Amino acid sequence: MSTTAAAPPPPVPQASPQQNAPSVTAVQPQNAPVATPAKKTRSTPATLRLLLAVSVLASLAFGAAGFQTGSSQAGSTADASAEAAQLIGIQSVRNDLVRADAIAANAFLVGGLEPADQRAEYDTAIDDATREITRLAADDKAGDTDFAKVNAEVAIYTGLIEQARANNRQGFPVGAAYLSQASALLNDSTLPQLEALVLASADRAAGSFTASTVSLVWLIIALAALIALVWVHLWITRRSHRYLNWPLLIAAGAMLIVGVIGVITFSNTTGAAIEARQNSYAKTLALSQAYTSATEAKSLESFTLIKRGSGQTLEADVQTAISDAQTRLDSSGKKYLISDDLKNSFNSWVEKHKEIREADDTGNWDGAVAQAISQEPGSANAAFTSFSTAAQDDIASSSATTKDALDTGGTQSALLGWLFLVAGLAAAVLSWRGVSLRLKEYR
Amino acid sequence: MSAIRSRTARVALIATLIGTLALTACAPRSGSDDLGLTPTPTPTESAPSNPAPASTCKNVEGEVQPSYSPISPDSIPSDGAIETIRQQGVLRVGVSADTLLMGARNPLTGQIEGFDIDVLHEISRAIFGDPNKLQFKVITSAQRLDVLTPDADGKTQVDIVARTMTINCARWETIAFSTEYYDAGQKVLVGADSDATSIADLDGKKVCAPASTTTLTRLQDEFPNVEAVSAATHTECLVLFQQGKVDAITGDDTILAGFAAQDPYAKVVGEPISAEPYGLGMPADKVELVQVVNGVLDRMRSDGTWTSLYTKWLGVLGPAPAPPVPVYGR
Repeated sequence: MSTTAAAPPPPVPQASPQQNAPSVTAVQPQNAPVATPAKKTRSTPATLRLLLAVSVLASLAFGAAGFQTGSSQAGSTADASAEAAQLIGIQSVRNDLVRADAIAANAFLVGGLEPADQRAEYDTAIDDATREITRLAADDKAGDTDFAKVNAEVAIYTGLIEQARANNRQGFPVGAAYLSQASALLNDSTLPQLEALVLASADRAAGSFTASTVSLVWLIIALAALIALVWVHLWITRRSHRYLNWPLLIAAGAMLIVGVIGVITFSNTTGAAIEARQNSYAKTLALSQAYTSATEAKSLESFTLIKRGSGQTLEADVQTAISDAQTRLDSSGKKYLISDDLKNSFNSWVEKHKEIREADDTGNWDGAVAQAISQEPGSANAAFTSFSTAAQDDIASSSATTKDALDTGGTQSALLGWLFLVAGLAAAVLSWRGVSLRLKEYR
Repeated sequence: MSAIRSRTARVALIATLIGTLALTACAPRSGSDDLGLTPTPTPTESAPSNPAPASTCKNVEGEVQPSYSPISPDSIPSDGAIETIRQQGVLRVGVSADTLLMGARNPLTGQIEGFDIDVLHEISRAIFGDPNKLQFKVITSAQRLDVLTPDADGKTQVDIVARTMTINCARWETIAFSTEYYDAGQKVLVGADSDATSIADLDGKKVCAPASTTTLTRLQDEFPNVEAVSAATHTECLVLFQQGKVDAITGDDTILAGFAAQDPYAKVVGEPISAEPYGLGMPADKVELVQVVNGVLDRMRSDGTWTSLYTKWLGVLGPAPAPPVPVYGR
């Protein structure tokens, strides 16, 4: 190694932080003994001038690499945080639409005039959904045109429901056919589009989570710069027979301190992101998906009753949705914990659902409908409402935890990035001064 | 001195870096991993709903397939099929909930009502002495034969289907029919401003008919120039018609009369292109039930019940004709 290191370390690769590992190895001969034959070919001042450039550039590279690590980590955690919020938003649109559909179906089940409070509840659900779609479309970084499509379909959907209502009010059975067409539009087109958006959003979040870790690679350049500076110091102390070159030493010390703090902080941010991804983010996703499946099961229940005795095929879908929700609510073997209360409150609705199906299957359709539309305490609707409230609270709190963890880490990384930059600039000035002092001795 | 410090620090730095990168490797990767989605296997092509078995039998134009000879409702044997139904406490019936006038759910009361339904109430009255011992199962046209086909335990989903079902010999191969209780005919419904007077005038147009019905089969077989569009139920045809997605609907005059009643911009035109003798469907092995139902239908024809039901539900089609004449001899 020492023989091939005849030429002085090429300063050029150090100049730009864009250079990566291979150029770093060229600097490695810092361990090289002083006794290289090459140095005789160059006068000491010339070498010192070269070292001046190396140390200044290394300092600047250190600052730039650290700044890059900090800002890219801050950027990617912020992206992950925003994308996680976006994902939850899309899921909530989906839930609002499924809920609206269930309410509309329920109103047909009751027969006669649609109760005013149910109508109001439907309006709220549609209103929430359209508002949320507009917000999501505005916040959308991927520029998905699918939000516009979803919005257009919601408009068609509400139109069909209005036609169903108008016909229903005149006593025309064609109203129920409009209802089922509206429902088919929602289930066959709108919801799959929202699911695709959820998946795309989850992919982008996953990309940002990974990017926040990958940004640590920049630290390798900072490390190489530090090594280069230490090597310059060693070379000078040996050559000049002085043990300490204060400016250079201070520069190296500052870089070392900032570097150690940086590695700790950046690793913390990465650790926090990884932890959030496996803990609060995973919990948020599990809860949100469980809630979606539960809403779907609840909505399908109304349709099994509308089919009056022919609901068995739909009941299979209800059971699939229920078991999906139960699986997702089961946090055993996971890093996060979902409270038993939430699971129990879902299961108590499942019990009520079972009673309703039993009534319908044994021919007591009127009884089944009465149980399904009751709003009394202890009814299926009351059980579902209490689950839904608890689930939404849990989703809100775990997504806030995710956001906190990511945002805190991101802010710290960004700050550290600036600290690197300042340290790098200061070290550049100091090392220029340190090497200049030696150089003067030759004038 | 500083060299040693930096060397130790270097080791620590590298160790930390490697540690962090190693952690990353353990973390889940893609968005669908985070969502816990399992890759769904590509769905295998689902088997098409079992098509009507190819039948070799021929319907004779103008002749109705004969049914079993009647048993008077006053002399129902105290053992056998009827007794089993009495023990189950209700008569399980398969009906339509969206065929206005024949069997439709009244949105104002939530009750299913119509001509078919009232015939079932008469049968309930004969068996139980109470017209309301009916347990409704709402079915589509395509489900009519399935619900009468015994499962592995020899049980059927319903006892009787009363859902505008045409008696024909192909269906007689899997189920049994009562005698004819209504003589319907296939017509066509068009927009109020249309010049068409029959399906023959609708070449190149889109005409809707429900899946798995004799109507759709006839439309495809006899009018190849018409673009046949199928929907799950008749009423969904009406939705397509109102949305301008089809130009006309073909179906039995009873059903179309119900549509015209719901839509002032529609009219029923032409002479019937076919005879559609309606019968009540029952499981093939319940001969005694068929005989009792035939007895009830006979009594309805003779005591004026049939005529009053016709006037109540189908008076829009004109004055009540003479009830269809029963054909026995099976």
